[in-house]
Order: sequence, then C-alpha cells, then structure tokens
Amino acid sequence: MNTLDSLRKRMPQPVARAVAHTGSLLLGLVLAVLLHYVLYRLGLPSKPFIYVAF
Amino acid sequence: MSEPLPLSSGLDRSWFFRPRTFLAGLAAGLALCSAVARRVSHPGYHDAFTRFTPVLSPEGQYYPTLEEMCGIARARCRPDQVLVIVGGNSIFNGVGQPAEKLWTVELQRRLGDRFVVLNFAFRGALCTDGGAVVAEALRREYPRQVYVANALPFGQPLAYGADPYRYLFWEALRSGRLEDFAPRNERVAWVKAHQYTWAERFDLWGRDEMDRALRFRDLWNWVGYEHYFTIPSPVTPTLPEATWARKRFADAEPDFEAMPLADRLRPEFRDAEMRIVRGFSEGSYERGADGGWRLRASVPAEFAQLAKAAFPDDLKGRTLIMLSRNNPFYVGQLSADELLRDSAAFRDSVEEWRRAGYEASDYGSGYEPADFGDRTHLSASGGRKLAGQVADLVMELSRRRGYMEGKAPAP
Repeated sequence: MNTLDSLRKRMPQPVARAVAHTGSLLLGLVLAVLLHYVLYRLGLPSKPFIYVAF
Repeated sequence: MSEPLPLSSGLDRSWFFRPRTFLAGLAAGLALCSAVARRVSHPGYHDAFTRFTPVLSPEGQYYPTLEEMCGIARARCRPDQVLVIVGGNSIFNGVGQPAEKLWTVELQRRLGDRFVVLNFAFRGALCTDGGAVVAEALRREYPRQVYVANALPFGQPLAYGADPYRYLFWEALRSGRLEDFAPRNERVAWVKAHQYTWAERFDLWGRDEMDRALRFRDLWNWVGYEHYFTIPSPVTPTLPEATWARKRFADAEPDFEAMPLADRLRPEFRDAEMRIVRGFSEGSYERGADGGWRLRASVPAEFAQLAKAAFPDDLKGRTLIMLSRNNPFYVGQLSADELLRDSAAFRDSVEEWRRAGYEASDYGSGYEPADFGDRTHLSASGGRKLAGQVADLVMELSRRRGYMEGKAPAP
C-alpha cells in the first residue's frame, strides 16, 4: 500500500485520477466476465446426463 | 476542525478505486458479453455440423442453446429452400451410423438441393424435444418447413419435452419464441404446479430470465466450441482432451455394419429385449369379449389429449411422426397372438396421430435383421431404407403444402 501511496504522490493530480478511473473500469470489466462465466456454470446441472439405450 | 486523514488511512488508500467507474465497467462488461453472444450465435458457428454427438450434448456437459441451433439452420438453409428438421431420439440421431453413412445424409441426397436436412435428434429425447422447439422457433423465418421425428406406439408426446432436454423448451417459452397455444399452456401450468417445487420454479425463472438478458449460455458455449472447454465431462475425462475446443472432436460414431450380426444380437440380452418388444403393446391392449385384442379405452383418450397439446394446431400438419418398429429378429420371436397385438399397436397409434392432425407412418416393417444394429437402432442399410421412406413422405407433404411453388406459404 505504501508503494501505491508513494506512486500517487509522485503523479500529477489529473494523471492519478485517470489511472484510478482506468483501473476501476478494467476491474469492473474483468469481474463482469467472471460473473458472466459463474452464472453459466451455476446454470449447468452438477451431474451429467448418462444416456442408456432402451 | 478535524485533522486531515493521514495517507495510510483506509479511506485514502482507496484513491485508486472509483466505485462508480467500477460499476460502469461491470455493467459495460456484462453488456459486452451479451452483445458478443448475440453476434456469434445468430449466424451460427458449427461449420462442420452433422448431428449432436456425445461431446456436443448434455452427455458431455454441453447444452446447445436455442439460438445456437437456430444459427445452424440459418448458416445452412436459404430462404428459398425447404427446411427439414429431424428430431426424436437416438434412432433418428443415427447411433451406430458413421457420419458418411448417416441416414439424414442419405435423406438430404434423396431430397436434393431444394431441401436442407438438419439432424437435431438427441439420445433419449422425445419427439417434442430439441428439434421440435427449434422448428417452432423458426416457423416465421422458414415457413417452408417439415419437422420429422420418431416415437413409440402410444408413447407420450409431452408438450414440454423431457429432461435433460427440457431446458430448450423453457428457454424458448421464456424468450417468447413459441406460439401462445392454450392446450399447451394448460399442460405447462399443470406440470409446473405439480412437478416443480416453488424453489425449483424460482430457480428456473431466475436462470432463464438472467440468461435472456445476459446470454451467458450462448457466449460460453461458443467459447467451449471454438476455443477452450472448461466443464468436466465423462465423455472427455482426461487431459488434454477435456479442455479441447469441442469443434476439434470429429463425429466418430462406430459402425454397426463393422460388427458381425451375432455380436449385435447377443443371446444374453435376448430376454430383456423381448420384454421391451412385448412392452410396446401389452400395456395398451386388453382382451375383448371375442378373445381378440382391444385397445384399452383410456389409452387413446389420454393420447389424444397429449397429442393435441404437443404442437400448436397450425404446425401439426407439417409434423411427420414415424413410429419405430423393432428388429424383426426379435419381433419374429413373438407368438402369433402377440404379433397380432404388436401390429395393432402400430396401426392404431398411426391412426391416432393422424386423427390428432399430424402426418404419421411407421417404419421397420419388411426390414431385415441386418438393417438393425441392435433391437431398435438402425444400421446404415436400415438408415438407407428409412431415408427412402421419409424422403417420399416429405416430398408428398411439401407438394401438398405448396412448398414446391414459388411463393412462400404463410407461417
């Protein structure tokens, strides 16, 4: 965390703001894809269908 | 006045995290996933589709979506062609017939370029499953259409299909792709009330509504088919095959014709198979006063109700139901009396389907034991006979419905 703080101190204010927005946006995008995948996995039956000829 | 918070405090540490931007990214990501799913599914991506093989079906933890199946039709069928969708169970899926000897390939060859045949049959499916749902969903896009499926004599055509393929029915119903058909609506309301707990209904509703908005099944099926499969499956239990894109797996159905006839009809299965053959008719018939076989009164009454609700009225006439006879090797071992009952079951069942408004026939009569790979599945030679019979019926049906004329009929 100290590294982040010192990084922010060295950055001009507009750049720090842009970095924060970009990082937050990317985090949102990545988590959206993960959430999308989790919803897909939750929708699948836990046990596969076993076909038996009759 | 309070002192400013030091840099190391929790509030200030979050300088790099902007909640509103994060939420905007989350929403944009979900919208993007949904848009990509629509973009890839609508035109279809199964370039080498023959049929739903075990790796491309619920046996392999792969559940083809409605839009994915519609996409296969869109990629193959021009608007001026007649779309022939094949549904039903493993017999019509072509179990025991390699891709190059598949009966629907022969059917396509016999029907010619004016028709496009798609094999949407699944193992263990009913005539109302899978292909039936897609056929109805595509009724406006492809008004020149025939749906062909197999069934057992007086088998129950449940309007909402059967597990594990019922998910397609729910998907189509929830997304408004099915006709509003009162007899079916009543059946669906009944089954939801009596066979699903409130928690299951809520789960079904939530899953389908979320999928309708976010299309997660469409997107991740596409990823699994084209790029990387992530679901453990008994069909591909070991690495690295377990993660291979599903498109890498060829249609590698074994060939019944490569097996000696004695291996297809093994003596140790005889008793079990004969019980099944007898079961085709014994539950539906009783002795009449004259000692002959008589259809139980409840059987046609119950069947008529189910058949009425199975398909909307305007689609019944373009639905061809083929009743599957058993291998003559086993049928020939029935007594003369049982044989009479078996014949009556097929004759009466075809009649009941027709009375309900469908096209119907049966196949397997006059076939040789070698036309089968076991009691019920057809070998390639049997498939060729079936294809010839179905081609004639589809041609006749298409002529009668005006599909062969220039103008497209009303859906």
